[in-house]
Amino acid sequence: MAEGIKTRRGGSKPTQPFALIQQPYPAGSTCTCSKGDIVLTAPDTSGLALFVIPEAGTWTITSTDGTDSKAQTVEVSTQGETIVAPALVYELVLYDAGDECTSVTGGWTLYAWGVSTAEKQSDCIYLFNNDGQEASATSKKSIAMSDYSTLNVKLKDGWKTNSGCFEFSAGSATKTTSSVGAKTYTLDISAVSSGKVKFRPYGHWSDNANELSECGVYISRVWLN
Amino acid sequence: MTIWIDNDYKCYTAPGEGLREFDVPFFNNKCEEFIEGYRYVPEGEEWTRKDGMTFTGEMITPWVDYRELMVYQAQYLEEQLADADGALEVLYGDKN
Repeated sequence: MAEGIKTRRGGSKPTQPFALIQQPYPAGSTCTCSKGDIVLTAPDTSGLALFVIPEAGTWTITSTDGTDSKAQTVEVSTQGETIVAPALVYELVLYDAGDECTSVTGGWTLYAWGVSTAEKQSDCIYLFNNDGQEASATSKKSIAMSDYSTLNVKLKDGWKTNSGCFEFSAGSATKTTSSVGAKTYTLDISAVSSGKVKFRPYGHWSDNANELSECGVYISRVWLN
Repeated sequence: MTIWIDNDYKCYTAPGEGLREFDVPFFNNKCEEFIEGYRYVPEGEEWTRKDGMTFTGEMITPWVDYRELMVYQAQYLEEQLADADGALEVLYGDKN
């Protein structure tokens, strides 16, 4: 484990160690830990740093490889404690404007039944469901999710009528929203270790209400972070 | 399946003080340990994770490592199957 090197701008005198932070980060990246004018820098890019923290407070740990970066804060309050911080990981893209990210996902399986629609368009996946018939897109591979906490789904457009809704899942976690539009949706996957990612707009005909519910979505980007 | 949730949206299989009741089909035929390892955020409500990230409902997601929950659920299903086998033997007798 590489121990962080401390630099302090302004030349104030060194202080006694207060606590330790053990920080995993993506190997090959640089990792720093800072608070105010104090900056600790991991001396190598091994992927695991040990920062000797000189004082209590909120410390910001940042990892970057020049392209991606990720930061988090760690609260240090108890003298002598060793904090094992959650691993810093960059986002894992599962779909991006026509790129199916096949090395990770294996590609996406689209399914449409009846009058529903499932299409791979040049910059998105289009799914439309009415009358309760299936339209879905599912990753071909089960995706390892242990290093990530959030599934993000960006719709470049979407709509629904009546009680139509948009449902998506990542392994054992699922989200359903009746607020369908051009925005990014999130799903907590903190306790999900792996699984396929699936999208399914939902619509149906209601005899009781005598109305048709529909939902259509244009999925433009999907990623984990 | 009727479940109850606390202020942190964690699920319970029995009512209690401060808990709210919901009917969630996702939990049909799931065991107690499985259900109580989940968080349910109803439609129109929000839950904020410790890191400050806010999620809108409806969301159903585990807060206990899902691999642990699957062990409980698998045991539960095995017990259900054993009970079903026993009932069939009572009804139809041992084939041997």
